[in-house]
Amino acid sequence: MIAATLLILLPWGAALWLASRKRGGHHFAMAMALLEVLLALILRFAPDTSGATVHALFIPYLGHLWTLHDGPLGSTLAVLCALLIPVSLIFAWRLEEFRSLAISILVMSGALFGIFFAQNVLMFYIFYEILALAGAFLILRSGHRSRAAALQFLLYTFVGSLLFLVALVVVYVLHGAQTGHYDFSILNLADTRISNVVGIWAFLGMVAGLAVKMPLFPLHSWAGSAYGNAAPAGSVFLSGAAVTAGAYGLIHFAIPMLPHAAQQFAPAGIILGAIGTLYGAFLALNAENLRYFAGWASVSHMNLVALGLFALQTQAIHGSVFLLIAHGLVSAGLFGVVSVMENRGLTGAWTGLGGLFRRTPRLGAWMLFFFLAGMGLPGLANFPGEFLSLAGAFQVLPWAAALATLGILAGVIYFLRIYERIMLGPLNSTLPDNLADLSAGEWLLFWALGLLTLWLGLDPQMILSHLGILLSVHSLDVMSGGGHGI
Amino acid sequence: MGYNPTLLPLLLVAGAALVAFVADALRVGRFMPWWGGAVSIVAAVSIFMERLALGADLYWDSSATLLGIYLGLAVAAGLFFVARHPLSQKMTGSMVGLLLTMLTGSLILVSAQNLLLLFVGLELQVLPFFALLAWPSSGRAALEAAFKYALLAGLASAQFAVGIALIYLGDGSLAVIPPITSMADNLFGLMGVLALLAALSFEIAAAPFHAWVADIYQGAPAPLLIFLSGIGKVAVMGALITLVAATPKLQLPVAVIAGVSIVVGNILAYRAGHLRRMLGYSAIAHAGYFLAALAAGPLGVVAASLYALVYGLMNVGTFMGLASLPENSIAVPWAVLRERQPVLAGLLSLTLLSLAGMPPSIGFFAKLLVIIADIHSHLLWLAILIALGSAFSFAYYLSALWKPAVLSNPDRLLQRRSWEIFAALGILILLFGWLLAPYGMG
Repeated sequence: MIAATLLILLPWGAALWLASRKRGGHHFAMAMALLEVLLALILRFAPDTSGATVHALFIPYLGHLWTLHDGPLGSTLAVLCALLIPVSLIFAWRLEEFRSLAISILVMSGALFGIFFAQNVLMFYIFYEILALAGAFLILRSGHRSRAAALQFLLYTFVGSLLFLVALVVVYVLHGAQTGHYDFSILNLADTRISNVVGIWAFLGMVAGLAVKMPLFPLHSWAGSAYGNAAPAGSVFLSGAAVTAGAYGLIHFAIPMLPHAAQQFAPAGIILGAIGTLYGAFLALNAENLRYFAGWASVSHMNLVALGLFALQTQAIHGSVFLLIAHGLVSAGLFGVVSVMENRGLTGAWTGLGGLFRRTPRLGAWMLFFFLAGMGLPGLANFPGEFLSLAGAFQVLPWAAALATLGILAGVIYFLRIYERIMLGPLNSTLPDNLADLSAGEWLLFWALGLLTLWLGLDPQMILSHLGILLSVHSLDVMSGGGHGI
Repeated sequence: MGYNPTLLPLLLVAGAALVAFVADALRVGRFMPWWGGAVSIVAAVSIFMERLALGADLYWDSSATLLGIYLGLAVAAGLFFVARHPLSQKMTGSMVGLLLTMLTGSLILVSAQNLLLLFVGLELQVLPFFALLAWPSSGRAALEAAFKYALLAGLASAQFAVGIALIYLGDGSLAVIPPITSMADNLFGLMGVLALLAALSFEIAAAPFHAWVADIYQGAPAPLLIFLSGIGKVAVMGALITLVAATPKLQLPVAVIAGVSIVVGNILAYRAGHLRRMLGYSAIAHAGYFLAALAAGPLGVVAASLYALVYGLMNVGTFMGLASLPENSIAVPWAVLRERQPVLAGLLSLTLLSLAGMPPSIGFFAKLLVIIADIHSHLLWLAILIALGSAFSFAYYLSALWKPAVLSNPDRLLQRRSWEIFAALGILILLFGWLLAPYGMG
């Protein structure tokens, strides 16, 4: 587990070093990012590490604040996040705010790895807050440098996460009163006996903190201004990696801690997810520019993830975890396309676009690829996840699942419509004459992302076959014992 | 009355204060900050030696010991810090003498178990600030601040005296924990403790007794605000801990004041738009968090002592950072500060985050403990209010951190190499102070 500690602390050290430098640091940041990918892969695939635990930093009544646990789900998501670090760094390579972006992405990735390996809920919370602060810094220092957007992001996430903290402390105090043993470890807290009423309120508090990050409808409205203002290269990481923290927190902490409340909340969660899927699709359909479009598309998919999670049904959870990973790649591809276009001076406003395919066929091809993946074309990454989530949810709450399916149909419409606006039709006369197609590096990067997307789509078993153990034992207990059936 | 060992720290500090007053006449004033700091450290050590010692009217119980040691060390740090500040170049000895008098009063406040002694402590702690806030060469605004403070603090002292009289009228005892009954057992006693609560709430600027705080924070010189906010308030918090721990009936009014303070403080701070005023108003919210802990019974007393300690540390850090800026700056010129005094800039940004409650700084752990204490004694509404308040507080603390401010003349920034050491120490304490928790509890 030294690898996990290194995985968490290395990017923070790197960020500190970058912050102390006046300029440059591109290659250093990239080297660190690749090192992180390597470490994450080692952690995921090395034999005999799964299940190992490390304890340090014991604080009386709070437990060991540094408790790392290497679970399969955490280490799989860690690989995804590690992969997205170099991806977003490459997209940001030529931006003047590269250093700020690199610093915040490195800090965020360290926090995310902490989240994925934390076994102490308070430790998870601490990393979760750091993640939010670094995210706000990213929004503040890149793109439009909008203070309002950063503040809105921060307020949404912090109000939510402090409510999470209050709910967590309620469970902690109850557990302490019952056993006389005060500790924030999830293994202890999951054994707490909680009455129905207290449980549902506590679970609502936790959902407020975790779902706001996904973002679940109706807590999603920060997403518009965040994705609309941050540099798309940063949004690659923000939408692909950072949002997984909320979903992971629900699977690994909130649901195991309050299983019965989770069941009671499930119908509401499914309905919210379904509404969010549809609503996100409509927002994407009416998006005012390309950034918003990619952002709302991501929100729509993440609501589908939430729908699958709250179905609390094996098939649906498998699907939603799979979709979480697939969404990371596809969203990276979408924001990557936006980033490439903005690097060429295109604002992403619809009026300045049209017929772009004739100028930049390679970009057009990759955009089509990721748009198709976003639509959920069979054979590409999103499809298995969407299908399983919906199939599972249909068994629990058919009409809500049907509503979400409408959202996916709307997805086909908005992706095709936007593609037509940007790439097809007559060449827009305002487009600059010397518009460069993808450079070799970008071309290669899209190939890498595309191949991964294709791989996930063609061979979903690669991840799904491990999903039985990906979910923590507790969550499985919930689902089998009195849940919605397997 | 024979020798009373619990008095030793007080005697040390008061004696050192006398020496410092004389020093100006003997033209050795410039050594006095070092002398005062050294004696404060010795006083802190002697408090540590006498922990849990029960004297005639002084009791160094665990919270008094904790806060007493902190007060001694913080005054020492403040004196060493101020020694390099131009404000202390005039009448250094007197300034150190007043500050040590203030420390004497503060130590009495945290440890006294007798109402009259508490009153003496309060006066000793408040009176020096009348002069200190308007120290020569600190400008008109400071004079105004000092005058306002003097008027209102005088009023609060009067109220405190009335409270003592009422309690005495009620049960004929001046002890904080009377031998048979509790102070608030009859009507006069109840009115009396409420008057005490109001007076002390005034001193820590809890709403609705907060009107003075922003003006003082804006006008008073930053190096002296280290002492006013980081030490004076902590001492009053110590007195409140003694008072409320002895009188459980006060928990309800304390909870109400806490709730009002959190709401009022956060709203005012958000609308302040001026760095110093923002800090002043947010002090109201912090008084609220402190009182919220105090409302939560025995566990709350522990949480409140730790919150007072952490609050003091954060304020010392903040005003050490602000001391290098020109007095009238309404925002922090981060670019210049980062270039001239990088560690101090780091400290200032860290204290702002810590005040907001960003983990893993000690500000977060203090708030966490308050929330735990509140939930433990079923004050869920207060816990939620704290959570919402501190989430909201990120809006203004981070605005102060993000607001791009320029300094027209960078040379107006005080530049001291030695301050960087303080700042590095402060960063270590604020960021990793919670690691010491196992030793404190063991």
